[in-house]
Amino acid sequence: MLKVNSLSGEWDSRVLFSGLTFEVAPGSALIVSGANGAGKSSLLKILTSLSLPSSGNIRWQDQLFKAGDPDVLSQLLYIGHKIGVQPALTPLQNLEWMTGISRKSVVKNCRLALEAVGLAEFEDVRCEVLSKGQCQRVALARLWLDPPICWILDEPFTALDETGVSLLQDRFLTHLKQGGILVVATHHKIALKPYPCQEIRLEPVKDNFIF
Amino acid sequence: MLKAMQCVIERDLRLYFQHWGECLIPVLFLILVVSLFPMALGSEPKLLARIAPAVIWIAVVLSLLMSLESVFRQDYQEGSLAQIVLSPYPLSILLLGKLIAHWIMVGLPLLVLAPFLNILLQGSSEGLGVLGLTLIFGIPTLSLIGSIGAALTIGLPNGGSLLAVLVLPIMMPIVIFGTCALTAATEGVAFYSELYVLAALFILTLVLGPVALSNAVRASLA
Repeated sequence: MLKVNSLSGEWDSRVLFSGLTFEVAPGSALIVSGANGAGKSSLLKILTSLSLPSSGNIRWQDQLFKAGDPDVLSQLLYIGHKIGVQPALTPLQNLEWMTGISRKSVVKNCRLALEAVGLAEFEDVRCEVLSKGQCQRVALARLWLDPPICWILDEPFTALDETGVSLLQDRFLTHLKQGGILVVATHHKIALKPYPCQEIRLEPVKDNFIF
Repeated sequence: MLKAMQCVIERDLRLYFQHWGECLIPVLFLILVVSLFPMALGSEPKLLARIAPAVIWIAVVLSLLMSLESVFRQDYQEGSLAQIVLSPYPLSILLLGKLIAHWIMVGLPLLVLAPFLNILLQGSSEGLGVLGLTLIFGIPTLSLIGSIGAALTIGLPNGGSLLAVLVLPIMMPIVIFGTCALTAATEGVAFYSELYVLAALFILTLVLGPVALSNAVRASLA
């Protein structure tokens, strides 16, 4: 259970959002939407503890989430706007590294995960020759690897083709079915029925400078 | 935990090997800076022998600074650094892994090259071993300190020059003790005290450096 209590975030001394309160229960999803620059990515970064909120707090399984708490981090999977795929390495090397530094993963399944996202023939090609959508698939392959409970994804549909989008949607559904938590910032309409899904719409920032 | 660190080291070594040309730059830089001195000062053996320790140490500091500037840059730009921060393993250990890989690919070649440059500058043969010893402790200490500055300046355009201004003052004591030990050795005086101080500084930065480094990385990602 992810609980957020009167969370406020600011960037460059502008208030992006304030007083956000919500709960995401296991088996349910939260969609963060809003115009470009409304603070979706900032909200997700705060939820992962990469950034600090200006006020409010985040509770994970009823415990206060502090930056760098290993118990929480091992249950969390974040794929940001920058996906963390090194162009000089192959998809397999990238995936093995990403799983190697996160506790809950089985490295031997990396090939299977790449197969699942349709990169079976590209395992040993350097990522710099792959397309943007294929690199996105490399990053998303982590979702097929016995992943943690809570997924926080920033624009996961970027550069994906139609089959990629439906592949990812199906993966979301299985994750929710298994009692996972899903937080996605996206412009896409995603159908997650029959699982409960709430939406937070962030309004674009006006010039509300704090002095 | 060590497995995750090993994973980081292996990946970074692989990346360094793929861009092996970049690893040559600090080495070439060291050779060029050191060989500038005989050209500018003239080839009087006594003078060169006297300034050799200082020249080599300063050149090592500069070439380390140059290579440290980019030690986190690519990971920051590609988003891998955020994944390292979000790893459940201790951040300081993973970052130490990155520095170990950096030491293998950059620090070690500098360490091997330095005694040869000492010969080039007609430095005393007694100083040769001591130069190696001071650099064994000096290079990792300098890397640890420099990496903290690199982490702080990571998101800034033109971070390289700021990095130098930021960390050179902190590196000064290490350079002083390093060159003092060498001068003492050349003059045939006991140099152990300086060497012990260098070793102590190395242990101190090895213990405290990664903690400061992980906070610096967190701060620049926020």
